[in-house]
Amino acid sequence: MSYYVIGIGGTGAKCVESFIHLCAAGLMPDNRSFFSLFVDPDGANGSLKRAGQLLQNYHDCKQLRVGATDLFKNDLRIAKPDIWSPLQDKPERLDQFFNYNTLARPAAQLFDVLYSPKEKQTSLEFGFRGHPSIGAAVMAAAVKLGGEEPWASLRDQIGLDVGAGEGAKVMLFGSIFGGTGASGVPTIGRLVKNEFSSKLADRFQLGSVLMLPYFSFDPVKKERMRVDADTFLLSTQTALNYYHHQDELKVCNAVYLLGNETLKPMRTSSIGGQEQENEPHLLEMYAALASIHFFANDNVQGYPHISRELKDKTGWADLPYDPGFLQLKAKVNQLARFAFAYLSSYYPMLESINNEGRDYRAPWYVNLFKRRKVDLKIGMQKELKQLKTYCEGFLLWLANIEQSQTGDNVAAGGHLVNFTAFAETIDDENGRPIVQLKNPAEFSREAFGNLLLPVTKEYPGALSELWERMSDIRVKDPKAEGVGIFARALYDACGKVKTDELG
Amino acid sequence: MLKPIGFMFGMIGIALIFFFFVIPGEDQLLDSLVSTGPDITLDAWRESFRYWAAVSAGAALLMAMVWFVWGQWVVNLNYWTKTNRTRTLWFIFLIVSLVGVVPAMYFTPAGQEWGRLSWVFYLANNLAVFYLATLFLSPSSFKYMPWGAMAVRRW
Repeated sequence: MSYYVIGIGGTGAKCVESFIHLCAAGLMPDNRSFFSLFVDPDGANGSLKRAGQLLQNYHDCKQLRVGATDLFKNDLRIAKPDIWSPLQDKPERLDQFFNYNTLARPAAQLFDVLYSPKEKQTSLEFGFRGHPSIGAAVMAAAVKLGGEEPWASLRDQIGLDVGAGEGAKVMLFGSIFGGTGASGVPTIGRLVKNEFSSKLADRFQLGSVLMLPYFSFDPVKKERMRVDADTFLLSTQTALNYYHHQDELKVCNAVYLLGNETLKPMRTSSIGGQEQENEPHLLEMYAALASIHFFANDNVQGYPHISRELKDKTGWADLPYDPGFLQLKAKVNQLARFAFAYLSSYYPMLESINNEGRDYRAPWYVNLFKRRKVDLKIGMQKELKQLKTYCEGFLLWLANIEQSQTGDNVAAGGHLVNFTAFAETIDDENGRPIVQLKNPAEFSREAFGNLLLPVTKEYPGALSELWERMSDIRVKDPKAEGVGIFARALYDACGKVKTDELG
Repeated sequence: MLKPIGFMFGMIGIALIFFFFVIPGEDQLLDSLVSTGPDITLDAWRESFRYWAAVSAGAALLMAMVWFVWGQWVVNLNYWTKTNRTRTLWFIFLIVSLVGVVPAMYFTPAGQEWGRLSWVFYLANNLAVFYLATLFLSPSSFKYMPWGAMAVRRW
């Protein structure tokens, strides 16, 4: 069984971002590879760009030979190109896209009925601007599974998996309240399903995660056609009604609907492009967990609802994960500690040894690098740097997940993550709160043993204990090699230091 | 917890080797070389040597144990930069352990011939007890701090 994740639109990309982090933490049901693809007419979208960089970074880190472990457990195949735009190499206006001027009169008149002049003439380079009617038409006309890349490779790969008897599961992520996701999920779902429904349908499963409104932003001034957060609920209602009446989602073996009654205001308001970089949100972690549920279960049936125990608080026990929330928490905790320790202690020490020598200060360096003849200089330029980038991205994601619930009210106590240990909320140039990582030298080392909430018992010396463990650690996995031995050792040791997981 | 305690017993073991084998061996050598003056008999001088040799080796063991306790339970390596000056600190411990030989030198009666050889033994024993104990049995986090430890220590 191979897995395929397709993020459609900016929200879809953010869901894939969360999915990648959970994969890195080893939460997937097995170690099979997954294939990823983004669909967005706005290739410069900031959220999409961030998710794309994360994918590449995960792919790079996966090259570390860490052996048989949960860390970066799944192989990743990135589509080429990784972002597909239905408007690629095509006119960016709807009327030009469909050659409106050359349409026969009846067709042109039908076109006039379906689309207003504003819709026909607005540039779509920043997406479908919350108009699924545009997106659906463009998507249906542009997606050709047998034609251009990456669809041809996707189809061939799924065909190979299905043909070999392994099976394939495809998960689509998208929002229902915007334009790209709302139009792309059913359209792409139908096209993909049709391709495999006739042959070997039992070995092919399609799932989708539809995000209902959970964030908002201020209206973008001076834009005549734009996404308006005030219409999110109405758009959602319309889309759900449409899906229901048209039975649009019957192609899916499983559908997950996620939403929130309070809309979290996003920091930036933009119609698209680089500026449209929305911060990660807890609901996207739920979306990623939904996809893991889909991948882990052969037959998803029924209409279960999930909710949280307390109205104003999200705890780890509220998060859905088949093997149990304690395991979910333990794995996220292990990766959080790994990232925290790597950034605050191990990478700076490696940098110091690389610059000034005196390797006797770090027994783990002598055991895991020097005696194994692992070249630190090369490692610092490549693998160790990539690992640093991933760790920064993971901690920032984790902090944003918490901040999406806590907001600025840190003093009231958090929900899931003690993010003030490694990140801080500052005001950006527009006076809006933004989460950023602290300088690693300013990380709160005493909080290392209590990175996840709630804190029931403090372990202020856990980072020091980790150093001691690392000084004696042996990696016996023959598949672990090079810098991967060090990463594996640190990850394993992080899973063994004193913990507050039951809290 | 068992491992650190085992290491501390190991340090005591190294010191016991000196108490039961090295110092008696040196004593035998001094017996054949040293001649004392009329104020003290050779046997009394040798007894004084054995006593002060044990005291100074004990002082070295004590310093090795202090080094171990500091490295294992006192210093907090939440901050990796604390390792920057630890070798200097180990060296200071070594020097301090050498101070343990001063009373031995002062209180050992002078001999007519080869009496000063006892000073050499005090210094050598003291250095060896501290160095070997820390070379082989320093806390894991500081195991390569003693000079030469990287070449010999594999545990």
